[in-house]
Amino acid sequence: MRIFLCAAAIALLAGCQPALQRIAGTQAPAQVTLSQKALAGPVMRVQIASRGADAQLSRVAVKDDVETWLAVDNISLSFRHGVLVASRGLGFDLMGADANGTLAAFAGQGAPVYRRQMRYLTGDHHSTYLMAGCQMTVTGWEVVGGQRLERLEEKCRARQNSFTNIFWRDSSGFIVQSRQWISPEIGYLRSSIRKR
Amino acid sequence: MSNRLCRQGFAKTSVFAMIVCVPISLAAQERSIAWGYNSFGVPGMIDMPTAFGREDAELGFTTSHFKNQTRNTMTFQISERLSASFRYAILFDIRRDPGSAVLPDRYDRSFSLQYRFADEGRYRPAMAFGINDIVGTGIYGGEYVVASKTLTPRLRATAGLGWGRLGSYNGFSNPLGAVFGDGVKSRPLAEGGLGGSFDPDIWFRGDAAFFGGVEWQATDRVRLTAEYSSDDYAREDGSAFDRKSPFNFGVSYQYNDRTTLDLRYLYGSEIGVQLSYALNPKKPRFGSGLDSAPPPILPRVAGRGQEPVDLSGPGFARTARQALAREGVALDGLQADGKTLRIQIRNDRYATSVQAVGRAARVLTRIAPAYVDNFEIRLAAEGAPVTSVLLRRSDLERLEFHPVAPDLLRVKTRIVDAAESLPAINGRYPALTYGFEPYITPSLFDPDEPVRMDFGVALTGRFEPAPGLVFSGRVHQKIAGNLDKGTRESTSVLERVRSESYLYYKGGDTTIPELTGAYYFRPGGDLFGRVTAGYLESMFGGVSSELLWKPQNSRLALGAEVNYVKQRDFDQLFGFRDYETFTGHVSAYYEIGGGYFGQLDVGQYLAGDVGATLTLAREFDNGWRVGAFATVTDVSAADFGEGSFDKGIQLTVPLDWITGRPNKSKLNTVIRPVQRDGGARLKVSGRLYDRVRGLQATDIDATWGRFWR
Repeated sequence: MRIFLCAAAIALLAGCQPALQRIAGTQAPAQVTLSQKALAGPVMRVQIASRGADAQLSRVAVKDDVETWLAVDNISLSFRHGVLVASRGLGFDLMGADANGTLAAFAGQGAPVYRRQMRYLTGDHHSTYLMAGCQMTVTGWEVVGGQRLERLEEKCRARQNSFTNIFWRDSSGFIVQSRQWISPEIGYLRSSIRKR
Repeated sequence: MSNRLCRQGFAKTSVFAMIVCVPISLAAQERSIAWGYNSFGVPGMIDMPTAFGREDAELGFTTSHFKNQTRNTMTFQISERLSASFRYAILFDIRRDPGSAVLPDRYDRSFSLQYRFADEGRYRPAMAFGINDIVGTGIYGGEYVVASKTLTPRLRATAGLGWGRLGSYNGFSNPLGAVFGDGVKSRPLAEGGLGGSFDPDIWFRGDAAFFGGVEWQATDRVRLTAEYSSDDYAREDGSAFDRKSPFNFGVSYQYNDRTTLDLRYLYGSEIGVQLSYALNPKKPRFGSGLDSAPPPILPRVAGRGQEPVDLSGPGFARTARQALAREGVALDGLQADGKTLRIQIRNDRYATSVQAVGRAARVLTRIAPAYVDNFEIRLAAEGAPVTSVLLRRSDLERLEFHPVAPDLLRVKTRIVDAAESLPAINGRYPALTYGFEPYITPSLFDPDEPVRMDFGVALTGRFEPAPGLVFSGRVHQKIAGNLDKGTRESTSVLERVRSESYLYYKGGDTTIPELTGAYYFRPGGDLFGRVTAGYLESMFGGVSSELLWKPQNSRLALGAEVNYVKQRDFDQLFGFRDYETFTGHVSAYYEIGGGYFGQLDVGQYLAGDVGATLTLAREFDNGWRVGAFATVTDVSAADFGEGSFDKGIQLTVPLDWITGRPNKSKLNTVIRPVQRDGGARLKVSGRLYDRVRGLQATDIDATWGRFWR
């Protein structure tokens, strides 16, 4: 009995590749072919500690003020003026987020405590929202990666979660580096942009 | 640096490893959630229950063993208050009833229920009652009322009153006698014999006894339990083991959030072990899945893309077909109508059809010329259209990154019935596909060998000459297995429509379980039709026809199915046996709300018996389904044989829930305590209700958030 169960498992794993693929799910293309234009553009380096991931992303779409960046394994991140507003392909993805409060705080405007709305999907495919209350602090200039940048800390609380997003911007206000919270399960990503 | 955001090895880990090996931090020990499963697989301590239930929707699998006795239980927390269990126990050297002769072995199936009627308050304990053997042979027959209290966050105490088996040690005269009279002070023996008898008149009767215990959550992973058991094990004592004491002691080790190991010292003489694996359908390991990122929406830019494109020409259809195929969406038909572009699609990849619609819409924004303002995406199943989703392109462009995009888009989107097919694109028909896949055929609960199975390779083929017309077949080549070792001859006095399955298993190593031609069509609005002819299933061939009325947004659907079938030869090739019959049902399907589902089928079954099947299920919008069914027909319990009537449990697990990879397939399992000939239904592929509902507004709305996934 046990012997042939093992045999069955081995046959499943080794023998029948196409069928196994069917069982394991439709394979996404392993590599995305990025367009010449995307490859020639700027590059974002992203690290996600909880995944042990470290990747270079290319910018594949710009719509109004939202830029979408893609990794070769077909995971995308979208930023509005440097503030993360969506991720796709990570599992516990940020489906959408509002950046208005954060952007106003960058400009030194708006209320001292503001709301951030973040959308997720539950395990049974329903939309669910985290409403965070956030506060921005400018902590001063520091040298990061050879560049003199201004550091801003956004402290947020949403239900049982509290997180601190950190942004480093240059003198023009452009977000060069950041540490931003994606979701309770994934935690933070770190991003840094450099021109190619 | 690997250039991948998802670690490479992560995606390639085998399915099996993923189920077992992903480490997750322990779930918080919540108030009012039972800390473990007892040896009967019921939320409880060691042998005794507690009043707490497990987390809503949890599905627990336990296997518990001590001297001469193994209990395997599946328990489903149907709601926050109610749980149900199915148990399969193997017992050696046991007496049928206390004092009767010792039997060498016994295979016992039982269903049990536990209901918490009072939640824990500041001072009030949680209170529950339970029945351990609802329709069985009564070996585990026992009932209880139990109260549990959390004393400190790490310490709980439980006290209860048991009847039947749970009132057998240190019992006293039934206190219910004060209310219901002396009649309840004696407990008749369960009828036993065939099993399946429903004996509510013996519940809570006879002597009662106290039981109790304490649980101490010593660390986050280790729990110590001591209990006083009111079960005297009179059926086992002296033959299977020696019961010396009413006290049991246990240590539980929570290996991860799903797996717990228990080690116990039982009744002053025996060591017991238990493995529990509990999962919650609402909590997939991979969240919303590892599906690749969708293509970004491409907004129209003034002055660009205005050049005329012949949307009706083969060039555009080819472009669309390729672009959609990259997203796992198959293009069946296409029609341009002024500023509206219509496409008819099949979803080949995603568990929810709304995700296919979302991907298709994104693709259309990238390929449609700028003057196209509206998209209509028509969802089809088996070539027959079901639903139209009408979207405005400007909404897609405006809402892609909006924080509440799903709600805002849904308001602007119309979802309606689509009875007409769009003109098929060039090259869609005829279509031929084929492939190989492994198969496993299990057989459970034969006392000679409780688990048997065959496995082998299946060749599948499918030919579609025209919309809605599908010829398909399967050929099985057995590689190994022991299903043909079954020797239990059928004792059935009915037509042997199912009980001779062992002869089919012996019939041959190369079989054709299915070879059919089917036509799927739309006879009118909200109506769906199917006619299937050929070798419908491994034991029957013939003609099957079905009509379904299922409007969009309706909780109720009605169906009728009429079949004329002939029994197939045991070799499952082309020949037939003599038996032929009409079988068919009228069916009502009803979505009760809150994820609960009911179905009633009334009609004539395969053996010619007439009756009805009631199915109740809890369904999750991610495709999980846990259900139970029972069939009562005009066949008497004696003629039916073991089990008295047909009943069972249905379990559906979506594959993408396990793997995190997009996949439409689901694992379907039906567990019957025993398969007899009464109440047996034809197993024909392509039944309409399940094909249609996933493409309709109710399901689309429930999972609408995945439009943007």
